[in-house]
Amino acid sequence: MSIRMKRFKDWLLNPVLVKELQRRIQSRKTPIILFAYLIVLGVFVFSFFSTFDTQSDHFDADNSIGLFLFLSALQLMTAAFVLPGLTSSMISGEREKQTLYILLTTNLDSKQIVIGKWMASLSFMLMLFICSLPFYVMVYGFGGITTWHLILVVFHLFSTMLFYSSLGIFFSAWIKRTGVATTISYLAVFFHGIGIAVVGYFAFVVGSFFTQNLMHGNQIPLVFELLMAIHPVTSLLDIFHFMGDFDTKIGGYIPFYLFYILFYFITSFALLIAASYMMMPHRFQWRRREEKK
Amino acid sequence: MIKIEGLRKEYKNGSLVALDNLHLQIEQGTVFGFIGPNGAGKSTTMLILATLLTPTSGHAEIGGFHVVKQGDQVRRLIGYMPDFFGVYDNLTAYEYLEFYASCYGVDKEIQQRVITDLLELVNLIDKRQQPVDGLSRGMKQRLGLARSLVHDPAVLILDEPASGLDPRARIEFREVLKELRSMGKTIMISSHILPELADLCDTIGVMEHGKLIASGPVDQLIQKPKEERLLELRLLADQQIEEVKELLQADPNVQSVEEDQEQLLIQMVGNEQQQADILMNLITKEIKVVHFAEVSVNIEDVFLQVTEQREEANVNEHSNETI
Ligand SMILES: Nc1ncnc2c1ncn2[C@@H]1O[C@H](COP(=O)(O)OP(=O)(O)OP(=O)(O)O)[C@@H](O)[C@H]1O
Ligand SMILES: [Mg+2]
Repeated sequence: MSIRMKRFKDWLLNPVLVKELQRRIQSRKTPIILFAYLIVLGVFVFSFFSTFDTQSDHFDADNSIGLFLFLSALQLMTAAFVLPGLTSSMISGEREKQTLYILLTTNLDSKQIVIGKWMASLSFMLMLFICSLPFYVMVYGFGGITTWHLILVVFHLFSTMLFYSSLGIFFSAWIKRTGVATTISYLAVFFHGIGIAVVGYFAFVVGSFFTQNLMHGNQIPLVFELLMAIHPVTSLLDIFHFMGDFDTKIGGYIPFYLFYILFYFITSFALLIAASYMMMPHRFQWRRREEKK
Repeated sequence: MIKIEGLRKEYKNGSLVALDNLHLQIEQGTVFGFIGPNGAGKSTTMLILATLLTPTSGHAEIGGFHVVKQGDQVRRLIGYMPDFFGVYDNLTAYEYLEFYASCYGVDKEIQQRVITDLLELVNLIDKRQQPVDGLSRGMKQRLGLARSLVHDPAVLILDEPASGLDPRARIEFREVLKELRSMGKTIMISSHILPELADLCDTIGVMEHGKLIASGPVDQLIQKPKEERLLELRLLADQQIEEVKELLQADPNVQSVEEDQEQLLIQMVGNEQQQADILMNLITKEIKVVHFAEVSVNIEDVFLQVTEQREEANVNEHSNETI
């Protein structure tokens, strides 16, 4: 390993990450969350199975894909519930505990602190994911899903997780009160899941006012397409070309799936940069006044 | 070691000037006491030195490194202890120091030794397995001091480290600081309480309204006003007070004589020699003196005096020059 690599490794695997991981592992909440998560997942998956036709001994490929998508959506929802709560207290919590100043006078730079916290939250999510792998294997075993699908879906899920955790960290660095930061993070994630769909729906309705044969022409406004591309579910459906009909018909300016991955990678990166900027010293100038109140 | 030139810090977009053209120099290996009333700007100065706040204008450097442009080098050089700080609730005292040692990049091999030494220094060695949030305020304060020392910094910046400590803990804390001084560290320490710093510091700076209004070696600062002396004189009951008063007022060194209950208060200018002369004069005139002594001026009086003068000067002529 070159010196540069070693430096990078030391930079990345910093004490903040180690401490956060230890805290996660020691926390009594961790096994509870894990247990609840697996139970919910299990209940859903097995109730799905029970709706299958048990007489005929072959599974419909469509059923299998449906279950697979369902599982993925469940994972997305888990990420939406867990990550904002996990990340939105990470920087503001340090600020409220009055430990952030000390941390910033050490050799760590603010980017390291942000990355450390971010990776800690992601690795928790990753652990949840790994624990759910048996379910994936089960669904995979029924056929109908190619390995390629699996990779694409996992990648999609990861980029969403990256985004949610960066979002939480960003609000945590930006907003001083943890309570507010948490609320706003959940609102943002809620908007990401539901809000975009609603806005998209209205864009669609308004759009169809102006163009008669929406589904048959190439007239779909680009905005609508963009909204679909950045929505977690529509972009996921694109993997199985459920939207295929739709996006070829409307011209398909944008490959939903690819756009989604790229968009959230870049956004996450930008949010993390912004977060480390937000916690830098000159931003503190309001802090002390608050403290004195 | 620490050099501040023309430092200025404004808050709230310039409507509040916390530091106003501050000049300050602290030599290597000395202990500098930073004194001033609430809101004087002590913490602000220390935050700037700790690279946690950027000054509006002016220059500050530690060990030759610019606090804004060379923050990394400055941080390596200093140990900073804020006026308020928290601890992580899920760590023991040992783990707490271990965490910060890692943050400072202290070698894993020597960490154990360093931490044990520090815990011994601050007298917390028997608490090393206790969770930090269970420690008392004074213990946390000492742990905080140990924390600021994990990377063996040459300079210590301690913002009111003794606030909230009981008298006993204060004395203990001071002993630790003395030990650090003997190790050759440059220490900058702030406080409201003067006596606390008097015997610890080599130099003292008095700050008010963002300005350094007096600074210098401790003994000099206490000595200076002693050219003006206040003497107490008590005579045997049958003495002629009025006569004595006249006699005293004839002395060129005596500025005023006042009767204060059973005794006379003599305000004079001069050194010990002249003080002795006054007494001699009285005795040769066969005046029976029971008590003759200088009213000791303590450091707190100096502080009040200096800040009061400053206030008057401000009111009278809006002068800006620093004393
Ligand atoms: N973040 C801030 N925003 C606005 N004003 C501030 C801020 N921090 C400090 N001030 C103001 O700057 C001035 C100097 O404050 P500073 O905390 O440096 O004083 P201090 O000497 O440390 O006082 P104390 O003895 O109370 O600790 C005060 O008038 C204070 O109100
Ligand atoms: Mg202060």
